Amino acid sequence: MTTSTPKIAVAGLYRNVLTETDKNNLIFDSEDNTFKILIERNVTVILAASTNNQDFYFPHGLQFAPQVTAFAKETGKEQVFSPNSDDINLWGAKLGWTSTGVRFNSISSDSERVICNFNNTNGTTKTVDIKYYCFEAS
Amino acid sequence: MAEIVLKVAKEKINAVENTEPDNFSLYVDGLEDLYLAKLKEAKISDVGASSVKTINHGLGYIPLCMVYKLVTGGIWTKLFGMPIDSSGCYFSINKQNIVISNTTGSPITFKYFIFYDNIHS
Repeated sequence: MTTSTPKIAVAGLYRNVLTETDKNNLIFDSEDNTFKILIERNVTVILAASTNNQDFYFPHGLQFAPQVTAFAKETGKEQVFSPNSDDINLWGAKLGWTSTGVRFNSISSDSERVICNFNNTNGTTKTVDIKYYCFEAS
Repeated sequence: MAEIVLKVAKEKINAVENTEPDNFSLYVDGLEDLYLAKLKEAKISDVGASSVKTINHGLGYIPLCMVYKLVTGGIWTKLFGMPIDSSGCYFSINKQNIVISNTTGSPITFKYFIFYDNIHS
């Protein structure tokens, strides 16, 4: 007689959960840690005019430095942009794109805060909405 | 035949009536596949000054991954492709490996997360 380890799995559409071995075809598999979002939060910041390297701090209330990511959106713009990116104006296939002058330099965390860093080369302030995520520690 | 439904809702969400997947930790409605990201490994790795570290993930396809760099003060900064922030650190991923590059003059500690989720096909 043999014994097997109990598990719970949920397969994708048209997949056989009893025979499926490709984890990409399992919606859930209790053998694996599913990555959990601990915090999902919207904040708005105002970038000072003609200033680079602006830090913005958001307390997360966790007792450790979580892994983080974020998406930003300038007021009046349609698209979001991620860290390590310029926000851009699209000018069509021929003319390409130009930077709006707002750059999302980086996102970081420590045991107390999420830290977002921006540049703004415009001569006016810019309002930016940020959605950031804190993930579980591993 | 009725669709097979399996939903685990967040606190104060009515799992029977609510249809917004963001409100669920597990959402299976038999109509659309909403896969959960399954973690393969999460490790810390040191990369020497002006060095590249190749980490074999062994999956044979390009998986979802995230890489963070430890900077002073216990701060972890997320890494991307070639950095515009002049940090000197970046990573790439292919079917076999994550390749973490440290172009600075000092050793740096990185943390990486590899998921089973295939992001290319």
